[in-house]
Amino acid sequence: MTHDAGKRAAAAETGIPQLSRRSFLRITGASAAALPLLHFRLDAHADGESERARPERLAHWQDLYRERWSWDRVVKGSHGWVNCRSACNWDLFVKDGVVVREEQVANYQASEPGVPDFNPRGCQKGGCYTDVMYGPTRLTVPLKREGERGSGRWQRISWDQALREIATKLVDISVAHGADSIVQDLGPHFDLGATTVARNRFFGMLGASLPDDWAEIGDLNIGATLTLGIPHVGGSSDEWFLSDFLVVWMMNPSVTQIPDAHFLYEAKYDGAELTVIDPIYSATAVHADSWLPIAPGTDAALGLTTARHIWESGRIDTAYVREQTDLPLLVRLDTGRFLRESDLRKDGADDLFYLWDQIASAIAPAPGSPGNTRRPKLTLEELLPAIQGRFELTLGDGSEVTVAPVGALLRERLEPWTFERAAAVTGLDVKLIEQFAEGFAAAERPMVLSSWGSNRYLNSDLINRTKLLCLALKGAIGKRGAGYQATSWIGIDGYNEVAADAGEGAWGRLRGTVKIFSDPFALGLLIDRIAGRKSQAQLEHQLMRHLANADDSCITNSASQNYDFQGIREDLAREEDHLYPRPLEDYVEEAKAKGWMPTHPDGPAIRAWVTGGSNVLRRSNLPDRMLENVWPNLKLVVDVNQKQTFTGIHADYLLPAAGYYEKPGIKYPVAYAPYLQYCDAAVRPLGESKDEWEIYSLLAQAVEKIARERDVAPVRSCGGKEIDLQTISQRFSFGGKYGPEDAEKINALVIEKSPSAKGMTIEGLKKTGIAKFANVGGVAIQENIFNSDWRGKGVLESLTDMTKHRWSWPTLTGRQQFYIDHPWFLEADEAFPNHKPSPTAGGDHPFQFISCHSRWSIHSVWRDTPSLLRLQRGEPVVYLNPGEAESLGIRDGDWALISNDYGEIRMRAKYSSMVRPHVAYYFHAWEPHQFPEHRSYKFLIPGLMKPLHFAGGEGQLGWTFGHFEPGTHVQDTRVAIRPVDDTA
Amino acid sequence: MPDNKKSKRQLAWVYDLNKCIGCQTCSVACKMLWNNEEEGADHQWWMTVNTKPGAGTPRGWESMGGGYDAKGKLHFGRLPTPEEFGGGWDFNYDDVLRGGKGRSAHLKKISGSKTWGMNWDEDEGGGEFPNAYFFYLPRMCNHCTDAACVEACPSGAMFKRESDGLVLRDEDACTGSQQCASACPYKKIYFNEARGVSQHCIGCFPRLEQGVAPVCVRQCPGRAAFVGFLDDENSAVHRLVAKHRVALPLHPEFNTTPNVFYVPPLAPAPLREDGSWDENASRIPPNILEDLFGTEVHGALEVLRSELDKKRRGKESKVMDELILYQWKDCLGHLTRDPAEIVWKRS
Repeated sequence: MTHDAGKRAAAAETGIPQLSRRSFLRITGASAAALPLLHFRLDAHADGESERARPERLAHWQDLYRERWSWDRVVKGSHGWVNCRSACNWDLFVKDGVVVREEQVANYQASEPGVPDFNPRGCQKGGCYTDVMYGPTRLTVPLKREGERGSGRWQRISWDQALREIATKLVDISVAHGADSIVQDLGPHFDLGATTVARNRFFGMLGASLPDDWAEIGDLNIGATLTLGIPHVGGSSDEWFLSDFLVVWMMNPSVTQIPDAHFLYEAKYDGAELTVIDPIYSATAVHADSWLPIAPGTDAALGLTTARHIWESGRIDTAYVREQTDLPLLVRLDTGRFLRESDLRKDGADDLFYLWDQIASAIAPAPGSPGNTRRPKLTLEELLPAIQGRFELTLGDGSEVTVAPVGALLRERLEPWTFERAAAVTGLDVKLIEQFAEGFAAAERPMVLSSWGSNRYLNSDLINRTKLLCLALKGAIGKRGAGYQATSWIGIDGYNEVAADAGEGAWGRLRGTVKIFSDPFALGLLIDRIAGRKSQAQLEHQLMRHLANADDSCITNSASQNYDFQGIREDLAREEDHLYPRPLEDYVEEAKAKGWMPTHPDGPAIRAWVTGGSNVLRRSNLPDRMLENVWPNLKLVVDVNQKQTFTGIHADYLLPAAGYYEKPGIKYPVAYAPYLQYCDAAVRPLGESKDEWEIYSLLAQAVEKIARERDVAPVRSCGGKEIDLQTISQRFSFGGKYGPEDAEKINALVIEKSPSAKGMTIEGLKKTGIAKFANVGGVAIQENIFNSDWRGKGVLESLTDMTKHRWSWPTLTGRQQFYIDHPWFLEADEAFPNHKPSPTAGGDHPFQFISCHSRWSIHSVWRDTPSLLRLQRGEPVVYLNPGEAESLGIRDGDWALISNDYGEIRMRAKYSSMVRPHVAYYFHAWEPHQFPEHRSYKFLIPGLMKPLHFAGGEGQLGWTFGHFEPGTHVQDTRVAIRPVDDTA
Repeated sequence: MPDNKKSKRQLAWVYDLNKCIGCQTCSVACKMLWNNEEEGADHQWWMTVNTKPGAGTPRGWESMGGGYDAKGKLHFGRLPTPEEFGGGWDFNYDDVLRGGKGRSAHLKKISGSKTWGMNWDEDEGGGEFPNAYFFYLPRMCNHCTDAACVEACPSGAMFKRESDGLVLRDEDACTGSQQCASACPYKKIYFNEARGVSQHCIGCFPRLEQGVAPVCVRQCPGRAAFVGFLDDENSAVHRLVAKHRVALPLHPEFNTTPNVFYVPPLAPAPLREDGSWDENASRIPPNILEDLFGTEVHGALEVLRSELDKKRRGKESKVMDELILYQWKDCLGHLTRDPAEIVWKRS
């Protein structure tokens, strides 16, 4: 074929012989105007591939197509570093040393008969990762900034120079300011294999600060932590299929959970009723039986009236609430506090709670109370606790008090929440609410899907507490085919162990087997667990809190770090001055004074920021404040990344990380599909890029070398601990056991040390890509399933250790808690689940600025990928109700000026009938540099912080990595919108 | 010589619009395999998913003409213009990321249409909030039994493959007259300027030759797509189309006898003026569905509703079980081979 020969000749002219046109286009043509130094030329034989003979002329037109669908070899891989809650197994097709395309493997099994299988997990993003890999944002050589930060001028440098200069600065900064002034920013490219082991291990051993950004990015379900002690709740996604009443409540799985969404629609086909509650007529709502167009942020009112209806209509599962919840626990009416043993006798325990036994007509210690060493389990046996009534008691000091079960008080609190009142708040019709509440009450297996995105209103915790209340009243939490689905994790215990090595470093404090035996508190917990006095959940929770909160752990919280350093205090104070009894500052200071909130660095400023792609300047609210107040103090900004991001634009050094198909890794194990997902390397790292294990191995060597040359004395880090930089490479490399090329061996070590991965080998995983977990894992930060019966067979149910085996919950009272008696919650009227309106953040403006995760990206990865931009409008858009936009004089496609008290930005308007009036809707994670003047929607969002989330000192309340911490809330933001001249 | 307009068997597709989530994995998979590499193929999307109601791609394709009239006479419609296909966007990555321009340059389109793209009207929909309505409509070449494009082709390059009824084009013989595209009422034929030939969905024939399902079906994570021989009683396609009659062709009035079928969309009940549910009304106006699928759509929706009702009452429903697709491989018909098993011999 002449055209084919022509292309071949064109390729030959570029000096890239035997390279397919595809790779030619991808690597050189895609940005032909680029500075040559930023690009490399792919050697067709770089991968060690044998040459593939091709006919000079293809015999027939059909051969052209046949040739295109051909390959040299197939490798099982995936996108295991992206912060995506799905995990999908892909075949990577390699031809001439280039990954030419990817296709789902689809080798998942049905969990059990009668349940649909998981195949073919995947999405359009995974289906075009090669366009990121070989695309125009890809980094392939180390770059150093020229000129000002953010100027976009770069100089290519060698790895030797990059490592030497970065290591020198890390040493200088550690000596001058303490190692904790260096921040390692979590986030993608983030797996639970060698990549993240390397990052956590290096910075842990360096003594750098590690801020947890789970709540800062708005993903942490504090409502679930307050209620269950566990934020990440749920089982495998095929469990959705087993429900008879599915409520998608603040989630949009058609868009954000593409590989799992089918289970919802299949459940509907199987006879389940599917309800979607969303202010927007979402891509999920279109497939529902019923859609409730609720006013934004008013969901708690719907939850409260539903709970009231369940109760009033007699469909409450009384046996369940007596055993599993705090509804029978007695509360003192004089103080509002739970009745504790310490109220009854001097030296009594603070963690022994009471119920009213109707048989004995007397109080009795509640089974499952942490302080109830005689009856640590929830089993009631002879007790028949009251959940109604009021009772008189004499306390230890002789005073008389009235006590009442939580249930009685809760019932009173619910009483005003008639359908009519809920209708007035939610904007929903009374009959609509009644139908929904009745459906919920009548269901056998009600299930609520509530995504991470459900946590982005200031009062999301209240909203999620009401959802859980409805489920608990129905006995649904921890019941097969029912309950709360908010994304959970299977534990890969080996990860923490390998990242830490004998308890060293920040991350390792969370595991640290060795430490447990030298730490009396930890040892005591372990003994209690072995003796059956504590549940696994309690052990995990308390151990983690204890170890992570140690002064020298260097683990901190991202939102509180922002509070301290970003220059947003006055704004937040102004936003929240009318919302709580005291100013936010008071709560923060009290939390710090009482040691509830560890903050690092200890010094006055952050001095170095090293990120692995979590794109802090993209994700932060008010990024300009970050640039104004944090960035000038930074003596070093490094982005270790496969691609250039907005944070990268403002970095000093860009170190090219290997892409997802160029290094081995282990995808973090979300429970939706309970399989370990191994990512094999299909080709060698592109250009000069390197996998992170190699990068941090070399950086550790460079730091050690400089420290030795200068004979640097041990440097200071958090809690006064001292770090010996002269041994960092020795420590990092396990005493020289693992070299820079050993990423795969590190993965093998993680798997070997993980009970949930029992029986798996790297060789086996390379063949299949996936393997079903053997169990849900042990004491590890990620594990939240609490189903010790599951052995890799059947649908993965969650929380059955509590509901079937009657182990207590990891809360203050050992029960699901619908009452929080912390003084802050009492004074803020949030002791009970409650409705509070969404405050007007950013000023009193007519539009609520609401977002959803995007169909088109996983955070900012893929957000700027040309092939996917071509499936949108190629630029950020704000979705507006057509009629309303028209009345503002804004046509579809026009620029809209969006403004509030923090300034103004421009986005193009897109008409959509799915958007309700008074809402401006957008999909998440556009890079600021995709907006004029690099001002994204984030420049208008203050990100309210809830003071109550700084609380501590009681049970589940208190900072714990990935469990309970202050975060930021974006959905309360208000904006004004007006037309603007076409200035682009 | 066999008749170039007839086949012995017919391969057919079914898309379940109650499971399609508009994720475009099919479109992307198709693009990555067939149109991501070749010169002149940038604008080609053999597989497209568009939000309905909407003008789709090419913009306003439904009123461009083509197909047969009731008497069987071929009508040529008009060719879509490049602007109606839209897209063609390149971006200024170098300026923004490495151009030294700081905040004065932001990432934007530097070429192509300012008013349209393949998925431009995504999620726009129709109706007024809260009674908005929309659904996703995946579209590919219909591999019609009475293919207007084949009859229209002046060079004899187009043919219906005898073994499976795929409508294909001998690209060596194609003279680039574009008569096929004028005649196609679905406007799923593109023109490759660089090569001077028309091009459209090839039914993934190289995959079919190896017993592997087309990418649009095999890669659909919504499990909304089915493929199989229309007369194969063991295929889900046969059962959904011929037995259960829940899958219908798109625009049957074009009279080309298309072989891509759709399970029509249900939707949540609309709200009355007073905000209460009107369970007897249809959120998607019935005439919208009738316009797309003909009057048969009402019968198909009725089957769906009554079968759903059976399930609600705890009874069995073979129709629902088929659409649930307990075993994913059942959507692949006879094309169940795993492509990764294939080892190509070097020539």
